[in-house]
Amino acid sequence: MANNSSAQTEQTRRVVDLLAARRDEILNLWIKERLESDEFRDELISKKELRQQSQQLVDALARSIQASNGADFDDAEFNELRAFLNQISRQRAVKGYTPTENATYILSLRNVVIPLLAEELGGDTAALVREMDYFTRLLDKMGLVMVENFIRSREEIIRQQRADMLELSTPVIKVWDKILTLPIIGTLDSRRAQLMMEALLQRIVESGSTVAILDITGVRTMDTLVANHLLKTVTAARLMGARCILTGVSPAIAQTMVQLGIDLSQITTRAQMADGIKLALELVGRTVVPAALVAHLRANGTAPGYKPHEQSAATNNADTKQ
Amino acid sequence: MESRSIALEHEPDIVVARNEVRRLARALGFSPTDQTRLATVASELARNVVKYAGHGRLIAQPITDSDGRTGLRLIFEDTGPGIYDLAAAMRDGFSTGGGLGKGLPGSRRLVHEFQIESSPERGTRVSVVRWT
Amino acid sequence: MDGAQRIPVLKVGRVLVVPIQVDMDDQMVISLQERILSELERTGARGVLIDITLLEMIDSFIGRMLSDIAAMARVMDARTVVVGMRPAVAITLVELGLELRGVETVLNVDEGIRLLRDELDGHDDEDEATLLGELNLFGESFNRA
Repeated sequence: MANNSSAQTEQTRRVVDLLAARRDEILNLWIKERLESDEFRDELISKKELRQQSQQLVDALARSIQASNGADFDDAEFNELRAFLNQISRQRAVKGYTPTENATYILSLRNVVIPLLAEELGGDTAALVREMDYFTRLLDKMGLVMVENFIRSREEIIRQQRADMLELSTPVIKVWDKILTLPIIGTLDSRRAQLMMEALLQRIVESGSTVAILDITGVRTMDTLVANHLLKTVTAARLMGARCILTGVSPAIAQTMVQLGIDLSQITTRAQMADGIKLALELVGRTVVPAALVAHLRANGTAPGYKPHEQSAATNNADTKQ
Repeated sequence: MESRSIALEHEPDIVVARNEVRRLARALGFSPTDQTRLATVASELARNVVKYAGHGRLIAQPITDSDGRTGLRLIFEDTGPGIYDLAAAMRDGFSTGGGLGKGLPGSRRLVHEFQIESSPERGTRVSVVRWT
Repeated sequence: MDGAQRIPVLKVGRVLVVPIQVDMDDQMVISLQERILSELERTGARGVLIDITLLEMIDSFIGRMLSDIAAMARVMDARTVVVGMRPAVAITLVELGLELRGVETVLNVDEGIRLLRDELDGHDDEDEATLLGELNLFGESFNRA
């Protein structure tokens, strides 16, 4: 055991020596290699930034090997390096690099260091093999950390973007006193439908609205899950004391819903949003009349062509389908 | 956060159980709707214990999955007579206690994971989980 | 003292107003239901307005009480209106599978009073309906002209 560790110290000292003694040369070669590779994307990272990053990385690597006496990457002395790798892989994830580009960046350091190592250790084949083995294992682990953390960062970014989009995509709009509309656009998944429902119900309470128009003109596909969320929203709103009107049901979606066996008999539907608004106004005790009629009423006190006996027929026509 | 154990023996214990579950759910960062879902599940399942078994307990355990997501597990245990026909008890509208028969099937819809074991010898154990 | 006594049953006009402001255990639920029904009989009220704005949870037991009160009151010729159910409570009830069929629900006390106006002040307001009919007719006639 003691033998082993002293041998380790000796061999690693040589990589560290190399990294220290020929640091600038290594850096120049490495950066040159990077700039010439297909993977360098100057729209994502500037040369200056690349140099700075690479220099910090080489220095941190040398420090960690030195401090740990040439231990493996799992050693606590590599924590600083690990943290630095996490930091740059996150930066790269934000910039839009791919996981392969991220790993290649680290692994390419081998192409620079190994020939120099061979130069230094020319005669001592055994030492060269040991040293190459150690350094390669180290870089592999570092590459893995980069990829793993990269993926985690990307997921985080996607989650954040999704959350932002969810918020943007549930605009509950008050169109009139006591009337809300919720235009639903795009693809609905369970999570989005859930958030939408909660946002709508919350706004119903806050605004004291008794009618909500759910417009699905912009919905491309409908499945059982989404339809069930819609039904759930309508029922929950009813329990709170608000009526929902579903508008913008395209023929394709109407067909799908019937084929899926979704019972829409409990829901008031209207073809167009405009019809929905007209019905909503009626439900809150308003009606839209031509301005000229109001002017005429003001001037004459009675409507043109008013015949009292037609009244009952007109009342029966009033559409308040439940 | 620590687990909580609540004795379920008398009707007022049902109220204690659902309030304690809501308090835990709030502390764990569940949304207001999720807090209400969990409190309602606690009320339904605690009532089953008190009404059908007479005595038992609720264990409320905050948990974390491998992705670091927080959850709350509720375990309702009793040493009562067990449920004779489990499949029937899980159907909407089935009731032997004069209720609406919504307790078990309804509770299942309010959580992400639902397990039930019952036997005349060992009583009934219902374990549910909801994730944030 | 019976716990349910803490929940007031107030008579306003011909309506019983019941603001539920405490967390009820099952016994309180049962005795509240009994009190509402006996008050209906005693006062001959025509409406029941149950305010649940402060209720943080409705399980199947409380849900059944609301349905039962509505059904029994209907037999006694009174309508029941439930006021102010919270969004979280409504969502949970739907998922639980309770839709409180037969129970009229309104958003807030204002809407409840609007709905029970006739029962509250006891006169029939047919004038407004007549007026609305006429307005519709005006629109129709005007468009044809």
